[in-house]
Amino acid sequence: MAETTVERETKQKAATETPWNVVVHNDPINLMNYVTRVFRLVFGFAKERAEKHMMEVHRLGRSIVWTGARERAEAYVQQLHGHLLLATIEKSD
Amino acid sequence: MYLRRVDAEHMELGEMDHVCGDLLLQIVASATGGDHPAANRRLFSKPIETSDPEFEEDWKTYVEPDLRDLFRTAQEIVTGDLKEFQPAESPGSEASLVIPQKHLEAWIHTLNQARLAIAARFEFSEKEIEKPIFRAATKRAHALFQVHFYGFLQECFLQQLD
Repeated sequence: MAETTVERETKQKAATETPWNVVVHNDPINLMNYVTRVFRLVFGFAKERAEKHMMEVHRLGRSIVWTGARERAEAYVQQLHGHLLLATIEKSD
Repeated sequence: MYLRRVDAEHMELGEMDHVCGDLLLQIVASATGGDHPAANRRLFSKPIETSDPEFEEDWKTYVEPDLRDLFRTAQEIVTGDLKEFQPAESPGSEASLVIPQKHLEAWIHTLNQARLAIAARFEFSEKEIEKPIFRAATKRAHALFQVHFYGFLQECFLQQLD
């Protein structure tokens, strides 16, 4: 019985620790400078890193800007939506 | 039209003709999604691509009201700045508007809301946005011009914050 409990707890822990990505999607309306600025404000990225992600969004249609715990990923998506970027969370591979 | 620094705390949008002045007065009205589904979908986009009804419902209940407040606060600041604004009345005359530096973030945000809401309402394609052709005096052409004019203002304000 005790072993079952331990196993269940381990599985739950593993599930909560599954990393989640914060993905920003391309949007032809948001200005490139604006997107770069938002990345710097929300994630504290240096200008070069913010521009790299912005260009990834622009060229590839999406960029993974952060990976980690789900709760924090949701908080980042909320902040990005606050700046009107198209952002979603997804399970990291 | 120009944007210049008046002093450490104020910017001035000057030499605005009646067209620019009218567009300025339409920013806040354009920024709300109203009852337009596409505009609302864009302003309050989904937080996840795969289906997760429970998470999406929680998002609508707990997050969207905060976002609405955030958007409304920015709109109210812009509305306040525009209260005393008198647009040029006729072709050939000009108007100006002084904006506190500390309000620039709210202006950038509200201009972005307006651009996104207008583009969603009119379903502009990426091609139309990137290579605009203002064919005739239609509502669609006016809206496309609005998106680009507001984008120009956004760029000007962003440069001030750099």
